[in-house]
Amino acid sequence: MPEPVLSIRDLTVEFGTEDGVVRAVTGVSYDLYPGEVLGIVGESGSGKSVSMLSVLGLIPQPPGRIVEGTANFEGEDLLKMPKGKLRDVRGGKVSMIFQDPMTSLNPVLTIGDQISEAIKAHRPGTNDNAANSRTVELLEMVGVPFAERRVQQYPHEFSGGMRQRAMIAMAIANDPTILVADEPTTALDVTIQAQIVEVLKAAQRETHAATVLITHDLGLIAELADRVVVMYAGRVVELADVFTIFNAPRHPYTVGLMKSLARLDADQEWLEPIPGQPPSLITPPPGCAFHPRCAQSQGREICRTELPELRPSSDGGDHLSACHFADELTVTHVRVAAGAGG
Amino acid sequence: MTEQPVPQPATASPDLTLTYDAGVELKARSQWSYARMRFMRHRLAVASLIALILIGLVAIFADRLAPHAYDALDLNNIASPPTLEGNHWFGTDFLGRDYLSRVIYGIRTSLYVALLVAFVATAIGTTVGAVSGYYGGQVDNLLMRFTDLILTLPFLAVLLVASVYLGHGNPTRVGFILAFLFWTGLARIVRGLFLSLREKEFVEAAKAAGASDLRIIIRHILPNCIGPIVVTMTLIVALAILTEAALSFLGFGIQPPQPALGKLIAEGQTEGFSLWWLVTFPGLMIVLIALAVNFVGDGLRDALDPTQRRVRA
Repeated sequence: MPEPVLSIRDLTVEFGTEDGVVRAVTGVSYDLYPGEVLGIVGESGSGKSVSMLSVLGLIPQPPGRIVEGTANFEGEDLLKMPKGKLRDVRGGKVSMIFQDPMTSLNPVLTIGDQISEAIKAHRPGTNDNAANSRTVELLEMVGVPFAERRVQQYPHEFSGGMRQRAMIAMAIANDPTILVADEPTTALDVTIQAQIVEVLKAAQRETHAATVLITHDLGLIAELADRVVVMYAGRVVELADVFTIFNAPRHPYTVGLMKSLARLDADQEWLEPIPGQPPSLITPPPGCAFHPRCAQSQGREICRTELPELRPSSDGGDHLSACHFADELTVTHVRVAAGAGG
Repeated sequence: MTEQPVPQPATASPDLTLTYDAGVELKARSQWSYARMRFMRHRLAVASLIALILIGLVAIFADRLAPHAYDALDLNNIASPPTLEGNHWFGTDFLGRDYLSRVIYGIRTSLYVALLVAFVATAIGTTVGAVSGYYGGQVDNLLMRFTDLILTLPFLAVLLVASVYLGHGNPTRVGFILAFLFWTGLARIVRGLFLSLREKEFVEAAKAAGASDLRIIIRHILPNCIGPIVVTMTLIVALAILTEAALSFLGFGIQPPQPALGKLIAEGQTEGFSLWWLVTFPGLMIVLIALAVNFVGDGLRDALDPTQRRVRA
């Protein structure tokens, strides 16, 4: 395997709140390889966004606090980088696409201004004409029609899908090495989502950027991701390539996620939800954080007392799972479970 | 049940096809043309703006427009009432000085002070508010307590003492003294705006795009605050005119013989109602300017909000 472009190790992030300290992310480690799309899945509050935002220094501190960890990017630790240098990295080598294009664009600046500003911020001395023609080119690339005219328009004159295209254009403006897409389709309606997925694919092809796709939409993961990190209660619980995650998950939480999906290829009468609620991150349950909701644990002692480590599963390769009983989850088990509703 | 009228299939009107054939060109409007359009629809604001421009021109060209020097005495016409026949349209005061000329020069002084106050106070208020709201924490605490301190000063007493010892009747000095007391309201407004705007996603997006703090403050957040700032600024202009008038009226502002609107009223009131024009004309000018400035501020508030297409009636 080639050298990872970004390698996060033992990242722990806390937030101080009135009710106590929330451990949003605990001991998270993963690598991002050049040119791949790494999906990060998990439910709301699982720490999937925070892990990425804190690496880029985008969480407010305080109340946020990075307790420990390293994030190695091009031989340097992003978490220890001085503010000014990190600012150059953001939007230059690492850029972000945000969830809600309605609010992520400044309402009082034209689309063209905002994109060319992103260009000029990282290439000082770019003249206005060059920045403008690059902006038009970018907008055409992401499929905004009449780009030449639309650069002069304001965000409120763009539809949701067009705004998200503009956000993507802004993100790829400086040929980033890493593209972080934080729930890029969540705020859009379904038909537009499909288009944006195509644009994202095209943008990734164009820039060859390693992409981190943060989402809770497993469909989007299946469509775009090469490898998947599954997070639960601030920890990585499973990590594998996308086929393995969908076909042979080795963590009961991932299995639960798959079972709660509506499938077109099976005759389901009911979807099977994961029972219970995600745990409080202020007082997480002892042992494995998932044990109160786990179908696999069946009340076994070790799940309540001992935190399972993230370790290679028995099917070898790069499939990691954090479950004491990962080996009990066999392929047939999942298949049967997935079809059980029908 | 009565039968519903069957909707007739719409026959293509010849006019419609004609317009299509003629090729309607859809022209994209710029933001400024929208703002101008919205402002133009605000009749009162437009009228006020025209009035203000006229008053401003009068102030600028006071030396050419005023029929007499403001301190020239006409001893044949002492305290003569306004008349259209002679050459004293606004009458003369008890020293025989042409009152029209004095009012014109008074407008010049008062407007100068008011604009000076508005710009200096806006600059201070916006800077303090922006820094305070954007950075928050200790910086915010310090700056806001300082603002509170200024606010708790017994306004008139401080103003009077400062005018005597620092003002010396000089319009520029008086303007700065007023400005240092007037920025607090704006600072609080701007701080509030910054507090809410800095949490917006577009600010986070700008940060993620590598923008520096200064750039975010000036380029991303400040333009979003322009509406309230402009409106507050117009209020400051109106308030400054009134305060300067009050100050001069009390004898602590602009010193004679230089006329200022408040000063003119002060001098006129000693004569009571017998020489009514001495109070009425400068009084009317103060009211007119203050009102017009407020209306223009109103119109600007509606016009400058880019997300708003309709005009508030």
